[in-house]
Amino acid sequence: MQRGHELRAALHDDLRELVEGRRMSARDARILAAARRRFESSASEPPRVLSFSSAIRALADAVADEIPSGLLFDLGAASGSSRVEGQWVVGSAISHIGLVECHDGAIAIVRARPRCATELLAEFAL
Amino acid sequence: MRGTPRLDAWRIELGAATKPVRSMLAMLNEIDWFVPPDTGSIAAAVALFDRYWALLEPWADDTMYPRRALELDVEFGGLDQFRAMCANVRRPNAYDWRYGPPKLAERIHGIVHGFDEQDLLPFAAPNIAPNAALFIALNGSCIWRTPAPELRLPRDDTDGNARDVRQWFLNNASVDVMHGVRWQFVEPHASLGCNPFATLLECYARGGYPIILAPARVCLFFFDR
Repeated sequence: MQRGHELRAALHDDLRELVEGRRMSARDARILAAARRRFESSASEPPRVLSFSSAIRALADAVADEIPSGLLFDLGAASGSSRVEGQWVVGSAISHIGLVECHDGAIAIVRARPRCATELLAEFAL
Repeated sequence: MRGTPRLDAWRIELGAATKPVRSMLAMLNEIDWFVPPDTGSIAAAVALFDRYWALLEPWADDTMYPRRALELDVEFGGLDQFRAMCANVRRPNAYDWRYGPPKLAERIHGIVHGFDEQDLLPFAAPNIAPNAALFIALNGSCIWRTPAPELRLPRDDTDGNARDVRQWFLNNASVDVMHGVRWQFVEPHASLGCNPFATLLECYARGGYPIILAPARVCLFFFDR
């Protein structure tokens, strides 16, 4: 796993660019940044399990903090990119921004619209 | 416009709330979306919207205006007018009703009734039955399935959002329904008529599409063609 603070800084820059480029809402960016912080702290505590499911747990907790009764949705299988083809995406039913576990083991932030190729937006964890 | 159901409403299990939740999901599957309302449905939809608001009000905070202070305009039009009206709430930094009072009301309603998200987990289904599960559990979190039927809509770039505005609206309606499911789960024996989100769903079924433009300004949109 890449050093946490380096990746968090890179993610912070990526999220800012995505918001400025109107490819992601400020709300989504706040949630993902908070999820990344939670994910990183879960890595420093036993049982130190760093997995897609712990990333989703961090995302769920960040959503709950940001949005009262916020929900996470099954966005279906990623498509159109060999790095994530067929992988399960979990995220927002409105923005279609979510997380996916790549075939190389990394976790990526994507936009997964129905019947559209999944767009890889940023790295969440390597 | 009717879509292909994603969920088999009659196979959903949610404990004591199974029957009303199935009814709600069946209603969702049966809605003819984005078509002009039947005779009599306009008045019914306005009344249902009023009731939705009244049912939410006791549970929301003071950012929610009382119905008497609300300016409600009934608008009619086609897809272009609907797109233009929705653009008012889709642009960045627009007032976003859905992230305010409805979600807060659902949360407070849950807290008052002792709801804990973990209570749902026994009803999570394995992902081998994708059309018979409202959600699956992953590491203690519920991952919800989009319940709204799938409409075959063209890509639409006219407003820069890439998705057809109807799909956007339907995605929001899906989230409303999931809040309705959770509301019913914590009060399983209450009538669906007491569930604000089920009432909103009925408003959709009558052809009324509320677009909350500002805290005290609502457009109830009806297709006229």
